[in-house]
Amino acid sequence: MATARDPEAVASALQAVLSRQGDGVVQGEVQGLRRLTGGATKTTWAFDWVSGGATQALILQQTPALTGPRGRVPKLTAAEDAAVMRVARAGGAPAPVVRLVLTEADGLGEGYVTEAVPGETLGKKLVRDDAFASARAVMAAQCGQILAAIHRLPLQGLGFLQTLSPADELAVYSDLLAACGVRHPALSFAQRWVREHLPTDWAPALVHADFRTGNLIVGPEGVRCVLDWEIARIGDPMQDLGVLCMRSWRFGGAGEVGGFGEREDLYAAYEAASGQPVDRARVRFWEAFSNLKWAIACARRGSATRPDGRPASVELSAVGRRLEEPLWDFMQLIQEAA
Amino acid sequence: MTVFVPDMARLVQATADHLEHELLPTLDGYHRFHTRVCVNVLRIVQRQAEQGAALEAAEWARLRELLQSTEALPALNDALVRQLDDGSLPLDTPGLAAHLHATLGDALAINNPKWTRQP
Repeated sequence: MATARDPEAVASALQAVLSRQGDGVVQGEVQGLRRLTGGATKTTWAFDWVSGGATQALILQQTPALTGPRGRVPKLTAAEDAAVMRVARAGGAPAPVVRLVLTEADGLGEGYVTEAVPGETLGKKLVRDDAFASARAVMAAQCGQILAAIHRLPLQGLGFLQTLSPADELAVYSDLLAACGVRHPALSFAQRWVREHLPTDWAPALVHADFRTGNLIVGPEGVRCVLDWEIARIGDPMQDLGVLCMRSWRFGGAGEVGGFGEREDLYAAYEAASGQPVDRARVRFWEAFSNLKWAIACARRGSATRPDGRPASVELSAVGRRLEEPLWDFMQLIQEAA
Repeated sequence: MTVFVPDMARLVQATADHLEHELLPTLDGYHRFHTRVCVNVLRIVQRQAEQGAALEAAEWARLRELLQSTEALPALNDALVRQLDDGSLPLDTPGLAAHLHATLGDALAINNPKWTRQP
């Protein structure tokens, strides 16, 4: 079945899907459908569902069907992604509320519909604008509490999640680097350093793996919603704290936590909410390793080609020239650790 | 050496200036974003044309010292990658981390000069 991509076709397919929900007699209308920016691999639409005199703001996420072997890189299908968000929501983590998961018969491809959450996601605004000063004061602690909630989620029904030990993570991302053919002394150094510092003492938990500024919806009172669960996995929970502290996701803000907050506020809130101590050195390890992973992602984007051999888009090509940013930060981090 | 007038850096600078000051203000949305990316890319090319040769000379000098070899720069970088990958070069080799750090800093002077200065 063809997948609707243009606004009129998407609106009419959506209307049919939403009208089929529940007892099958829900009547309503899709209004104001508009494509949102952001997401190079996904298509995101916002719209209003007007039904029974009520208007509800909803989001449609269309994800391209996975082509080729999934390999060992954890990338969830839309249905798996939605299942994780439902478990997270039920467990007290502010994931989007999933209204429905698309089926093939819906003609919209893979994807799901969630309730819209108003707020700001842009990092530059969150770390600088006066409007979010009150949010910045509490967000590090809120993130600690949310991460503690994510890390104690029950894993029943989520058997599709891959378990990646720290050594597995290194193998997966090293394979990606080898596949794109980029050879760079600092990348080789960073992989060796990570291999020689792999943590051995870690307790598996559900890990979001992309929990950072840019993937949080924020209002003046703080974090309202955590987005982008599609690379969730089972692994070392300290990974999530490390990713959140990467300088690449601070958007020029001074706070070491996401550009908005202080490490000790994050750690103290996490420890209070989880009852588990935060291993500071292991957070730093994951911060360094996450910089290596982002560097590998830059190398892959920068070396990407079109089917005819020309370079990929100027946007992807330009990301290749960001390769040194995380590697520079990696070298800074391991010097501080030494 | 052939004399090019203007040289590569000036030619690229003129192009980037045109896109930034003449074209960009007339655009919005998708084309504004991607034209901004194009301007940023041309600024990178301009800085590489201006500074690239000096930075490569410094990198080569450090590598000759580090690896005690007089081979050309690409061969030395290749050897460094090989010795790091196969484990034969210890990570705490004197001068190794400093060389990588300096080389990354020089590349950032071309690709994103703000990176080594901002918080």
